[in-house]
Amino acid sequence: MRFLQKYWFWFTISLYVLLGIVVLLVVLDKPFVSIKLIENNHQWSVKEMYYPDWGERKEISVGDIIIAVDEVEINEIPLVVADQGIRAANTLTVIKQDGRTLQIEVTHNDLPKHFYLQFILPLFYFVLVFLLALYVYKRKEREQATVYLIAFLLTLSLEYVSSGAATRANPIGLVINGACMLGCLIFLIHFLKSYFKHLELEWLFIKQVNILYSLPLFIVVCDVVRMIYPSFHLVRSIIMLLFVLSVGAYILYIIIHSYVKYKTPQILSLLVILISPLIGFSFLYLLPKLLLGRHLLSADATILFLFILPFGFILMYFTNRLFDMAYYINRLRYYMVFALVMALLMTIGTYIIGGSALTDIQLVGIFCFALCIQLFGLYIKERLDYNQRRILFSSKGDAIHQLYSSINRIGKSTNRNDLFANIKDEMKIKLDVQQVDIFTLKDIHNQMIKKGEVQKKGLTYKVLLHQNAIESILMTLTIQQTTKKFRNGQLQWLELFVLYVDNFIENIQLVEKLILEIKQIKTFNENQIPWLDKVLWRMFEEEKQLLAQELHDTILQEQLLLIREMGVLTGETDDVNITMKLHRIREQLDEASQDLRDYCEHLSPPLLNTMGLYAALNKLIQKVKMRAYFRLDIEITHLEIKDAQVNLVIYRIFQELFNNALKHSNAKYVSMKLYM
Amino acid sequence: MISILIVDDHPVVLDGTKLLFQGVVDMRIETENDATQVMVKVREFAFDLYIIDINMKPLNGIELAQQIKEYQADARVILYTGYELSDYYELLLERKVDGLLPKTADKERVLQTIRFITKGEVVVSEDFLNYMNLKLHPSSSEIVTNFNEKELKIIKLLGQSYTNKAIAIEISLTQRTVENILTKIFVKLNVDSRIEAVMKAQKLKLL
Repeated sequence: MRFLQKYWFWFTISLYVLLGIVVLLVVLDKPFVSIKLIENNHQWSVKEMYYPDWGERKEISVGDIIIAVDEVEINEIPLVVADQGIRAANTLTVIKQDGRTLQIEVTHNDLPKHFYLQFILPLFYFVLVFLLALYVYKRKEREQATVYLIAFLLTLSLEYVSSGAATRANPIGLVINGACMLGCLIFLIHFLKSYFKHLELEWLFIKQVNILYSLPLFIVVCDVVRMIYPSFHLVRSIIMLLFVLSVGAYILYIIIHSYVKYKTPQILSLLVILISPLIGFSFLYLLPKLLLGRHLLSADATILFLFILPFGFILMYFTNRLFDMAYYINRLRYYMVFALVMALLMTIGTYIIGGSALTDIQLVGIFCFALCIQLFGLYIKERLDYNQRRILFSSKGDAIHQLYSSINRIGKSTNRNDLFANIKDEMKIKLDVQQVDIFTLKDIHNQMIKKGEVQKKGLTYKVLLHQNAIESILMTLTIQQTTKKFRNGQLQWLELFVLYVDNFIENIQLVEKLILEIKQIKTFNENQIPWLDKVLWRMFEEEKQLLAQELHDTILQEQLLLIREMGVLTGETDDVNITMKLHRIREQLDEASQDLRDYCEHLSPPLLNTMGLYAALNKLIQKVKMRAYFRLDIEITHLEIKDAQVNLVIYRIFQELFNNALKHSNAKYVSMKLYM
Repeated sequence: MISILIVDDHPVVLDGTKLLFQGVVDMRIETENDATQVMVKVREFAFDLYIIDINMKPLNGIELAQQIKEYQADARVILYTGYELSDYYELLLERKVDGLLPKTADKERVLQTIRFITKGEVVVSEDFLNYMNLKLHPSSSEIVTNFNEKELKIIKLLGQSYTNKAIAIEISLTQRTVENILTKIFVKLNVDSRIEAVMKAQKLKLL
């Protein structure tokens, strides 16, 4: 099993090649004659021939009795009896109505059209799909969808290739044809399911696709039964038709329903690809035959549209897969439509000119050739245009290629007048005009000219450069007497240039507005400085007031008390009393100076200037630890900062943070870190 | 005769300090109120002892002391300050200065300190030992538990989350005194924060 998984591709492809060769050999073995017979007393006479021209050349006519096919007595061939006709043969033994017995050799050379349709084209298709499968495999896109796509393509190809063998009632051909016809449809469903997954769309249809594979198996069983009982043929055909129609209808339902639901371009292209072979058949064969009584292409030739299927799939699947961009699909669609229309026109033209001298196949060939050439030409043109556009559009005297430099130049203008002057210069240089005028009109209702339009009156051209709610800006160009009018290239240049100018004018207005704003902000800022001073002044005043209040309430009061006490002391006579009181006064003074010291420390930490930031911070921390009920986690790097200002700022930040923590945080845990 | 140079950028303090030496016969006093001029003087005459204010501008006392010691290795330097003395104990340990004096020190203490220092001895206050203890045994588990009544009361109030101000009001002391006592308690409990103190006190069943 693992071996199979690893080599599934090579196994499948070998099977494909083997079966293909078998069925193709069957076709090659016996040319297809398709003669309907009528039995009369065990004698089989010709009733109708599929190729009457050939019959005429070989002297077979209706009524001739055929006695043997490939030197076998006709009554001993069960197929002839069952079919009431001959499908394929190498030799026919015929008794003419005049009694002559003829041995007729049937070769492929006698029936070239048939040979093309049943052997050469299928062989071509067969090889093509084989190469395609290899290509898809080599891309290493081993997604499930790819696997089913390959399976679908191979079974479809086998179905087509085996149709020749099937019409010859070859048992292998019949089995392959029947199984593949259903099989390819089911692979298609499977592919759709994985593709939906890839597109991230919900799959709303049959969940167990595997069950469906029983259908082709059932057909194979039917084929086996038919081999034993040829009369089962009709039942088998009905079952087959039923299956194919219902599965086909189901697929159409899946795609149409999904497209209506999801509206994605991928599903639409799927639909187009699937329907296109039918379109070929109905529009070139069925409809003309019904309406005109003559088909444009024979039913056999419309089979050529089958070629669209595999390539359509690959194209769609891989462009989408590789790029996932609407751009590629759109471009492809655009080119395809263009090429299709052109090819169709060419084919119709050829048909009208060449008339009936051309066969259907030749017409189809011409159509295909024209289509391919168109597509190829468009592709080449695109590449060339891209690579050579500078050269393509810069023939001497053509102004277009100078647009860039012109725009670059006017783009440097910073105000309106500058811009207008630059525009005038450009006009004079690039268009060689006599006079350029740009004027602004306030009355915008009387305009006879639209934006982007170029009006000509005599030797004067008039264009509207810009228009807004208040004004419109017009430019007039007076050309030289000898010039008479602008060339196409110059006009094109002018139109493009005017478009850019419109943008530039808008931008310049914005720039001017911004510059004005900046100026306003500047003057505003200048006015702001006294205001800031005022705030700072007020803050300083408030601080001072606070300090004054504190000093007044504490130290001043104590000092006043001490002065009074000392005043009392001056009148004292008792020496002991004086000493005692002086001692007390000293203590009080000491206390007061301590308070003062605390203030000073608070206002300007002395350690900061002497022992440095680290010591000052540590002291602060000690104080906080003394007061705080929270756990303090401190990490301070010993910073060596020269700038006293910076040290002070850091200290103040810490002081403020500690104050906040102490007063407002209600914290249980405070952490502070300082590092550089 | 001990020659002394007193450096302070406040002339009033200079005069006051000079006053302390009135009647002291074995000391010759000179003063200077501009710290930047000191080195000029030192180069002219090497004093035995220098008494320098710490907070001066643009050259502070510590920097000046360093300059003097660099020039005159045998010079003795005493720093004096109106601020907390313990902040500068480190300078003593590092032998950047030889002594520290508070500006509030009386005549007796000043003279005593000078005499001891010129003899090559060190004079320190009691809390220097706390400082040393913390420096030498930052995490020693040894805890002194002999708390006096006031300390125990403060510990109890700590346990009730009183602020220092509230404690001060509660036991009729100034806030600074409370904080001084707290410092002592911290040293005894070998902690350095209030919250640790509370936790230790709980552990020791002091609360």
